[in-house]
Amino acid sequence: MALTLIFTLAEEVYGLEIGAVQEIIEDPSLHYVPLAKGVLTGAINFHGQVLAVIDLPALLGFVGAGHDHRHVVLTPEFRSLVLMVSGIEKIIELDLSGLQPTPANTESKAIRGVVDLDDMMVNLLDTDEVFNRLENIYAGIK
Amino acid sequence: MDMSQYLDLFLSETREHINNLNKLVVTLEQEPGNRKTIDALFREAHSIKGMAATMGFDRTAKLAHFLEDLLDGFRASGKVPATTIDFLLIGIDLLDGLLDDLQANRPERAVDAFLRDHSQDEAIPVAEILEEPFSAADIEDALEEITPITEIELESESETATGVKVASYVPEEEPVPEKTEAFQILVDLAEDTPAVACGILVLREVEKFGELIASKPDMADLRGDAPCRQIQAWLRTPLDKEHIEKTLMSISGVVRVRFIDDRRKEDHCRRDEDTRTIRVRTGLLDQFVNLTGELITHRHMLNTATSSRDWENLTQTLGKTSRLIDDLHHHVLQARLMPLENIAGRLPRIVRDISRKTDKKVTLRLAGTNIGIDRAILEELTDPLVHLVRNAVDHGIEKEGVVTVSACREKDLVLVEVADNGKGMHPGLLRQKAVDCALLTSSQAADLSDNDVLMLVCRPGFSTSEKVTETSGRGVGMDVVKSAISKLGGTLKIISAPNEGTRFQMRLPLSIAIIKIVLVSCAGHLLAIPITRVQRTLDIPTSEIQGFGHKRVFRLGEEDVSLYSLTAVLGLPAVPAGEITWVVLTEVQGRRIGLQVDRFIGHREAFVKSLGFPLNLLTGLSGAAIEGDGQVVFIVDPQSLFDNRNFDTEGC
Repeated sequence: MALTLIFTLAEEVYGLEIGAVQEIIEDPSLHYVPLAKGVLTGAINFHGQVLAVIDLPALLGFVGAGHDHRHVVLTPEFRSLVLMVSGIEKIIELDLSGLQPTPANTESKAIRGVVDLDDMMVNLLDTDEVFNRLENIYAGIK
Repeated sequence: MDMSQYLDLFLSETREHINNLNKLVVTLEQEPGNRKTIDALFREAHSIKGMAATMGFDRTAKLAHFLEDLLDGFRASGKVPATTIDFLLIGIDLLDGLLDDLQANRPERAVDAFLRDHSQDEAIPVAEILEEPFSAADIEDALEEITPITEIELESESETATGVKVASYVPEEEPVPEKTEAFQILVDLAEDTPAVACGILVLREVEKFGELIASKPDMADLRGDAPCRQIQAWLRTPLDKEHIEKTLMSISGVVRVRFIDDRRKEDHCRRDEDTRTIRVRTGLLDQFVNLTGELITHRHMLNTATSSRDWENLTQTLGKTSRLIDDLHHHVLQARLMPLENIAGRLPRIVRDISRKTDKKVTLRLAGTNIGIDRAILEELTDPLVHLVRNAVDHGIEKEGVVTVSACREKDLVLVEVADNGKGMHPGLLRQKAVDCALLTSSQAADLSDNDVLMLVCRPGFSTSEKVTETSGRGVGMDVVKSAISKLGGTLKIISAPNEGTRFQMRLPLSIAIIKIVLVSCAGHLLAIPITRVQRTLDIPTSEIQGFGHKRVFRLGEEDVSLYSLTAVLGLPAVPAGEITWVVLTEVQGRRIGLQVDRFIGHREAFVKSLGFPLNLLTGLSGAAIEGDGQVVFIVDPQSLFDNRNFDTEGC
């Protein structure tokens, strides 16, 4: 069993282990980042640290998805950044022993595996994939 | 006693001693009979030996001891034979290699070959010793010598430099089932218990849980009446922690049981942390204490003044507090300063080795190396400085000459210069070369000023050297030097003329943590530009700006200066200028340009926040500052903003 944050990206249900989450913040003021393009929507002042805010639905190709006013701040052990999601649902104990492999045709969705929860399928977010994706986008910009 | 906490200190101090050793040996080579130098060398080796022995690094201690003995012999005879110099240097390199091993948490490399070969008095090539791979026997030897603390880390299958996997180190013959976890238990004993008896009880209990890898103190220590309030034990067991805790807590005298597991994760985090050390004069620390004490008093005064609504007193105390903070800031910056000597100290050895290899006679002069530079800048400066010195010896000097490394203050910048008295660079030849390499067309080359032409050597793929040598001339390097300097917020200037030598001037900020910035606004957004990048701020009547096709130019004294809109460069919607155009005068790629902004907001000091992922990947941003109201303002570096832009084809 693992404590997991359940959130949505468009209609898809995602999970992220609580160890990766530092805080959920509400309506932070977004500041302008010069030369930032695409999914880097701005930066916030998080207790004196300057963190990038990433539009996760857009990064993973969910077109026209909405955004919750609450954002997810990742722990520094992962990478200090802020993820915007479509909706923040709840925190639950998730039984990871039933982890199933990633379904076909979802390579672009950064899914580490799928778990059954009641009658829903929860996609576990592959944070490494998210970081790789960002690195590919921004390391190339000159 | 747990020595691992002193490892960083040991490494940094020993590196300093090695630095000194290198420098002294080079001095000694020039004056073989200098008694003082021999004495100093002996003392350095002696210090390393003592520290390594205390830390339990046997091979390092053994080698240092050997060098000490050798030097002691020379002390008696009063001079050092010329043949020994190389040998000493090889020994010092080997010491350096041992430190690399210790730093990387691997077993120390073998030293016996070095010690043995010297007793036969044969000259040995450097490569043979330094690149000698670990044999399986070496690793076994090393494993036997390792203290319990390193054992645990080896269990996570560390890889040695040669790629040999060091298998799990298990003292007993029996293989341990993979499921069992290894972790460290800390057992705190109550003050008033007979520690020894209680300790023995605890260890006996722990032994029953599974395999006790090591403990501190161990049974023998306890029987020898070693006083202890805490027992650390490294244990491999299939049992769960709850059970262990419960059993141990039932022993009378045990106050607390803690588990430290998942060493790998812990190590991982620790390595990411900044573990570099710096030594601070105790006098300075005392000043910190005094200043903080005064600040606490002032906070109290502020509280009192506020609650009694004594506004006059409040204003006064605020003034005093702000002076105290300035003072504290100044002292904190002082603590971060390290002398340039720390990195310049290794230059004599480097110059000696290259001049040997290239068969040149080069004298190195150092001046002003006691100047203090922020630790963070100094660390990043090492590679560029070494590269420039190598270049000077390799390309600047033809057969015989002098390379001078000097440093001095220039307002709030430090000027570090690497100069040689060699043949110098010929702007005409450089132009030709640039055309040959297809970097420029011949008309572009002709248009460039001599100053700009010299900066061409910083272009990737451009080399002035006729042939590629081992040390430099591959056309890489100068571009790296330049970008490293500009990352630090500094600038590089090259001064050279045929037969007048070459001077590479690096201008660097003294400190990077707190810098002065100019605040400007572009399309409604606040931006900061480091003041070291701003030559002047100007307000020009818009009517005086002339347009030539897509380029805009204004007159400044005798010079026509190109004008670019910062708003456009950042891809923001343009705001039409009024009667006055606001311009920041800056230097990009060695030429002066004007950056048009919408408005000047002011200038002030700012604490630079480093940028996290992925902000750190964005070109043109060198950090961020936080305003009084919490707003984040990014610091834009014009130099890197324009780095990959072509002035001639793009106009803004």
